[in-house]
Amino acid sequence: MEENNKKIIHLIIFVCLLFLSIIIYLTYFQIFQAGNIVTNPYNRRQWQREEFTVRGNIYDRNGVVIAETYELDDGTTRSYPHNRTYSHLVGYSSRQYGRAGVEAFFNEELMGASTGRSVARIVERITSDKVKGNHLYLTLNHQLQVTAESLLRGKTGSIVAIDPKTGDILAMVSKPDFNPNNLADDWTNLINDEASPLLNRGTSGLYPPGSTFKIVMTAAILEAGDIDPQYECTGSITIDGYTLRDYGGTAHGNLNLRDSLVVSCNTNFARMAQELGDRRVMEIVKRFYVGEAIGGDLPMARSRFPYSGSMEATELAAVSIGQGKLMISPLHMALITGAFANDGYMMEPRILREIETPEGRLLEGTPIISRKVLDAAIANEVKNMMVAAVNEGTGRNARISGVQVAGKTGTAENVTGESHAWFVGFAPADNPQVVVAVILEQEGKTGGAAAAPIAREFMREALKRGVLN
Amino acid sequence: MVKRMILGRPINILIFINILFFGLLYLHVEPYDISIPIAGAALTILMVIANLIIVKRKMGDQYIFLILSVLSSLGVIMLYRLNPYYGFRQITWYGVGVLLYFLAYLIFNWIKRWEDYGYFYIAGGILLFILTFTLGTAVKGATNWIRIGNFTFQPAEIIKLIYIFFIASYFKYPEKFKNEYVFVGLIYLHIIFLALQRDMGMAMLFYGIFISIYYVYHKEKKLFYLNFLFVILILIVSYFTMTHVQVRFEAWLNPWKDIAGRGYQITQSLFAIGTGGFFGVGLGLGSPDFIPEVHTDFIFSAICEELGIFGGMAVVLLYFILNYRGFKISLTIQEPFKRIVALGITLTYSYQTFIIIGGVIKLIPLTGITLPFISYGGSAMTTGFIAFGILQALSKKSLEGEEIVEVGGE
Repeated sequence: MEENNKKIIHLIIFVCLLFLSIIIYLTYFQIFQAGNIVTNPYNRRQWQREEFTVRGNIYDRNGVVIAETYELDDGTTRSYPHNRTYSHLVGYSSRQYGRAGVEAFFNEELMGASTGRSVARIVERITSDKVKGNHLYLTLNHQLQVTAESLLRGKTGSIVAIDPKTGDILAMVSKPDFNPNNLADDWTNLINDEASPLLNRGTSGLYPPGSTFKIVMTAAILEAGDIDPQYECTGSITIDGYTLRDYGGTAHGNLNLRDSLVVSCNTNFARMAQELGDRRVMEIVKRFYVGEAIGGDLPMARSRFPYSGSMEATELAAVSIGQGKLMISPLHMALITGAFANDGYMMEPRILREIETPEGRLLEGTPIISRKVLDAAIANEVKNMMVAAVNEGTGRNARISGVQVAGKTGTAENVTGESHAWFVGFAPADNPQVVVAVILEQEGKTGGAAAAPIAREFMREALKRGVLN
Repeated sequence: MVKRMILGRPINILIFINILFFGLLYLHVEPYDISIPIAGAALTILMVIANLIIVKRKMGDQYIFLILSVLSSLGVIMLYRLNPYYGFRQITWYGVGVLLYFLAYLIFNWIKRWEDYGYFYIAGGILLFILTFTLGTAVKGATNWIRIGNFTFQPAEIIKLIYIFFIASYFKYPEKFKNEYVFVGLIYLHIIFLALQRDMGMAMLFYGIFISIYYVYHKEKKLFYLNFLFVILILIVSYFTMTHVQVRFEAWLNPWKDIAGRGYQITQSLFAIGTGGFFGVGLGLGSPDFIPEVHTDFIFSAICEELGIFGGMAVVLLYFILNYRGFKISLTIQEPFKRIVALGITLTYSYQTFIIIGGVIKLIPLTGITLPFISYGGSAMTTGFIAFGILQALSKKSLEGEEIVEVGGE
């Protein structure tokens, strides 16, 4: 009997443990898993909220409607009056296909949450009115977006334009694109298309930056002060048994630093990178947040700089001309360029300018955040070289009469064999108002030939109409 | 004074909870439906009267019935909130259950020598299994229901009790069944029947009851350990011969792989629990009706969504107190037959609770079995009340001669 009692007590302990395991597992689930699980598109609760909510509208910085909700007798419908113009950046909100772009990452604001209106929500629920969402005012300028979209039509690539002083995104176009009003008809084609029309190349397309990255290297050489930039270019250089050539094998002759940037001399930059050494190269690359989280209020792919510890001589040479394993998104490249337009201050990207509550109260959007990455004197010296690159160098196609443009071209080799055409720049050089980054994917032409004219047209139009209005 | 009025006696807590729950439900459903407070009042009055009888007639343990009533109230409220029809039906079943509770109490005391009918228990169990096979209709992939007219019931629920009596009578008179091997063989016959009905939850439960009691009373050590080998064999064989076992197992390992198909039930359940958070979205404010079978197998997920996992934990703790009372009773009984019956009933409801709650929260593979006293269903509800009516009768005997302390007495 005694032994039986002992064994029954074992059973009690066992049952205790079973019940305890339920309690522990529930707590674990709630703390570590629930957050990810409830946002799964198969969780219909997310859409149920939509039935009681009038989703807020989305406007550009001047009040042009980009997305709006119509109330119908049997529910609401979301419409995008400009069709393809904003496809990736503003995205879509669809019961069937989920959410993307601004519609996804500001969902809570658009649904009326996260502005401390819980009392108002309860009142609205009780009076059986629909909950009203907040309206968003973005940093975009509709005119610039329309211009950018028309310039890129028929191409594959992206245009990103920012305000160098605030980090405000003024325009962002990615091609190929889609019409958010027609998702139901186009969806199958969109997801099967190998050109990935649903991908926002502006924030999430990662490309080797090519020669546009030489602006960063130029700053590094100026900062170092102990590198002799004088060089006799023969059109090729051999590093560790690997021969690197200039574009078209051109021998540029005798060059200083300014001329090397103007003609985009690969061999001199590769040589100077050897003298800089891996420590200083890695330091400045990371200072521009390449391979790091960049901040800002919209999700973007982290640029890649997968080197740590030490770099081989050939790797240094490749990175100095924006090749190798270095990969950067067009938005990131625009932000880097912005630092040279803004006395060495690099901005965090910003898309949300203001929130308007249903009561009409205006709330500040994302704060403007700047970070000093370069000394002003160095930034301005590089800027002057970028002016020269446009006036007399590879960027001549970006010249605008009456306005001084600063910029840098890039022709990035990649695995496909067809090179990407890059141009990054800003205008006017003495008081920069707009920074633009243009990439044409697998264009097969140089940045100067293909990307610079697009950047020129965009900047000309922007300065003519007014960058901010 | 007020505190004393509310908390003075456990039954007052029950009344207080029911006033809160049914009041909330009444205010929530529009247009206001006067039948809700009436149903709530009827249910509460029934509970108070039944409790009064148990206390005044000194029927033994005074907690068991109270806990069953709290669980049943919660079940009725959740069911009413899901579908008023289920709620009203469940109140009816509760009423029938209470009657059977007292009837079981009386009959169990009235018949003196329950331990003598070992053969009848085996014959009865097997007969019911055969009836299920011949008359059974398949519901949700398991052939474990018998339909008589408009009325369906699940024989396995009754077999559960007969099975406990069979095990108890064996250990009272082991010599009646040639040797332990015959006994163990008969146990596995039950389990194989259940597996053939594709009722894996019940099979698991029957095995758990057996192995636990056998752990306490076994004589042959070798045979005891062999059981673990048997169960592994059964699991492997059923995994490879029965596709639904595979499906359940895969849905447990990674339900996210096939959310729209195999993983549908469990992922919907996890969405509900995740949405509820710690404190729940509030009674009537969630969407538990997105979960299939929410009124039976998945009612715990609905509780977690609307009352939070703190609500869910409270339910688990209530079951724990209930089972603790059961263990306590079985420890005080000296006579082996009665002791095993008490232990068997306690283990049944402990394991059943764990199997279904563990299943819907994805702690263990999901098998369809009801959450005792909360899930919708007459068979489970009435059997539950019969089982605990027997436990009540056993508690009276176990406490006889001891001083019965009136719960919360003045």
